[in-house]
Amino acid sequence: MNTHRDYEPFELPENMEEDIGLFQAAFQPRCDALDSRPIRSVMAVTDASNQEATVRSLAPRVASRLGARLTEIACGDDTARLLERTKGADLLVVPFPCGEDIDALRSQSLGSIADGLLQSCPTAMLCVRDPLSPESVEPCLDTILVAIAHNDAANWQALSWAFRLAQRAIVILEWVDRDAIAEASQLLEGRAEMTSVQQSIVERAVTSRLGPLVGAAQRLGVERNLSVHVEFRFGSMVEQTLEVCKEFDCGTLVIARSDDRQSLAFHLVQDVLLASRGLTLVI
Amino acid sequence: MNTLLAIVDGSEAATTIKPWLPMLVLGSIMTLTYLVIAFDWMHKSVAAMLGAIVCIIADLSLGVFISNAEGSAYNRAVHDIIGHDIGVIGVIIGTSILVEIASRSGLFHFMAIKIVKLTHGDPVKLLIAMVVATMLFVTFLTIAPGTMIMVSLALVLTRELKLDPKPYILAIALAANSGALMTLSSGICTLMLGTAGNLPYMHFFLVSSPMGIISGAIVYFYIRRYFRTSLLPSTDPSGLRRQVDAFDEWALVKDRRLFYRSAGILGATIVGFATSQRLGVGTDFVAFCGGTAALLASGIYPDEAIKKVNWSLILFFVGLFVIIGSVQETGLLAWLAGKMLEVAGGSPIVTLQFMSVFVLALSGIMDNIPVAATLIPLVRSLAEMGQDPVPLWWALIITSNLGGNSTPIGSVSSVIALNGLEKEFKVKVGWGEFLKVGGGILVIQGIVALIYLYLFSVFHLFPGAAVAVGVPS
Repeated sequence: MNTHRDYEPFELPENMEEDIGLFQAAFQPRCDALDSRPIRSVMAVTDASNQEATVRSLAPRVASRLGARLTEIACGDDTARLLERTKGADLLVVPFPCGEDIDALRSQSLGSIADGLLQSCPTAMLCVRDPLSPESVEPCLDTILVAIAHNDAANWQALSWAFRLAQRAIVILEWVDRDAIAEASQLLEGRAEMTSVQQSIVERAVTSRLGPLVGAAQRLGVERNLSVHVEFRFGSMVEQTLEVCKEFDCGTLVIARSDDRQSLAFHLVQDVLLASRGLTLVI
Repeated sequence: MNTLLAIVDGSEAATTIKPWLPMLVLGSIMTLTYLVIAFDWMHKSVAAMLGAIVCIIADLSLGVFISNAEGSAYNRAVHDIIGHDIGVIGVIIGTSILVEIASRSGLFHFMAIKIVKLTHGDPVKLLIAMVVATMLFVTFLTIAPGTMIMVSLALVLTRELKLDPKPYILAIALAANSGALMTLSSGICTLMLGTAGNLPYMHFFLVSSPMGIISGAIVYFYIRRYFRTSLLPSTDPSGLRRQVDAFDEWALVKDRRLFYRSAGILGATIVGFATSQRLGVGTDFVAFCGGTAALLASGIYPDEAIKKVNWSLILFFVGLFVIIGSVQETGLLAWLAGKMLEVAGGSPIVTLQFMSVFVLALSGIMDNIPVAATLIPLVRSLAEMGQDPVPLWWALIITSNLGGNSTPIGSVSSVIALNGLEKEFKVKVGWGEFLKVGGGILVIQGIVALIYLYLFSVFHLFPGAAVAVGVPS
């Protein structure tokens, strides 16, 4: 006999996975680990490249937003020396590539100094890619996208930075690599393509795991009158991050580096930076 | 060529064919289509569309529709029928978009956790909360989305609190059909019948909502008694209280703006439904306004929300309406209505009770949507024969929704709830067990409904009834 499953037009079976994931998220132990430590020192790195004007115009705004002291240092051509001089800073505003015009390298490389900073600098870095006109610098901090994928502790840090900087809204992108899941699924069940049901099961797991983070973000959003939107996407990280950035008109992207510099997660951050043309805060 | 044209415009066939033949042919096509759908021999939308095509061919060949000043036979057989029911299809499309956006906003999930927190984890209070929240959510979201949210909550919550999930899941499945009685837009069946009967939105609060509340209470008391051993107080109430109080409702809000906007649009749409007659517009217009406002305000990419409308079901309705419209035109349904009046001895109250029992029984084994769709023209025929249709519309609304409680496949809420329970807990509720609970509840609800309808008839309590329904002599 017909089981009547489809007799109402308002529901899909996959939605139950999403609903269960949401309720599991609510039942996770509550956590308020967002870092509210004050930021004292912002350092602007100048390099005479065509991004320098943007760094000079952006850094004071960022420092003022954070209530921090602003200092300025020249990039130079020695990464080790630069790293030494940036010690003690809480945030660097730095052109990426550093010491070269972006037009010279474009999407092929970040340049040796920028690469060195990404690998070895423990400080958060607000990377300036394309030069921005003075009037487009101000709205850059209106809506901030936080792309979340791998490392839990780093995700909390990334979100904390977004709350420090955002003026109007935060978009949290929960991202899962479709190819990686499909590959695992193929290994386990011999199927190459992910079905929508499998996707919803993965979404349920991610939603549930990130519940405490979303809960903390929404509560702080209410407190600070900031809108917080959570978006879940399957697909390539670079593609999805840039797509969501464009869709929600985000002026700045916040992304966390994995501590393991050899990991796929770390290389994905490099790829996002290479593809990104706007401001990216790397934690 | 002239003969072919004459057949197509119906004039040739109409002059040569006996009137019982179209009744027999189209009645058989309708019955066959229902059997194909009921036994899953074919996808239901394809079956309905195929049935509609065969009906149209039969209509034209047998001269059921004849070309006249109002239009060609084909136009009358297809466009006029669909046009007649376009209001229902419009409400379903508009509401689908709105409900999709509202149910995904996290608003109802948030409310569900807030309601659960009020119980502090007490098993009996939790049961009350589940019944009340289910009815509330179904009222605003219709049966399937409301049930799905509540079943998901019950599955996760009972696992978390180490409670027996069965009483809660069954309470949700059975209370959802009571929730569908609350307003015009609380269920597809209610919506179809309310729109067909042109019943004002506010009248639902006077007739079907009180019955919804009574039947919801029956569900609660029956389940509480039946599962009394599973609902004993916890040995560690303070532990449960601590656990429940720690639930974080904000963890399931995806967008606070969408959350507030959905609440506003949903509220405005309900006000729109309630005032549509006074405003001189149809409920389909209000539903479309709500759907469009949700698309504009949600920030969700419109294609995402629009593609989640179950277009397959819309096609199913179009096919079903064409089949029923064709059968109605043959006079078969009017003939059946006449027979029903004969059996009832011409008494409006006996007709009302007879139809109520028939629908209560049939809705348990067959989906209530085709049942309601077929009975709509039957009620119209009864109205043409002088019977006041208003009490019959209300009887159909109440019995077609409650009738689904008797079997595990009788309503979409039971299917969702039992599938969820089996998938998450590997607990299967068989037909026997379901019949003991759902069947028992339906017997009580059915008797109460019949008494309720009888009292409304006797004391002329149906608002807008054209003439008082007389007491049988």
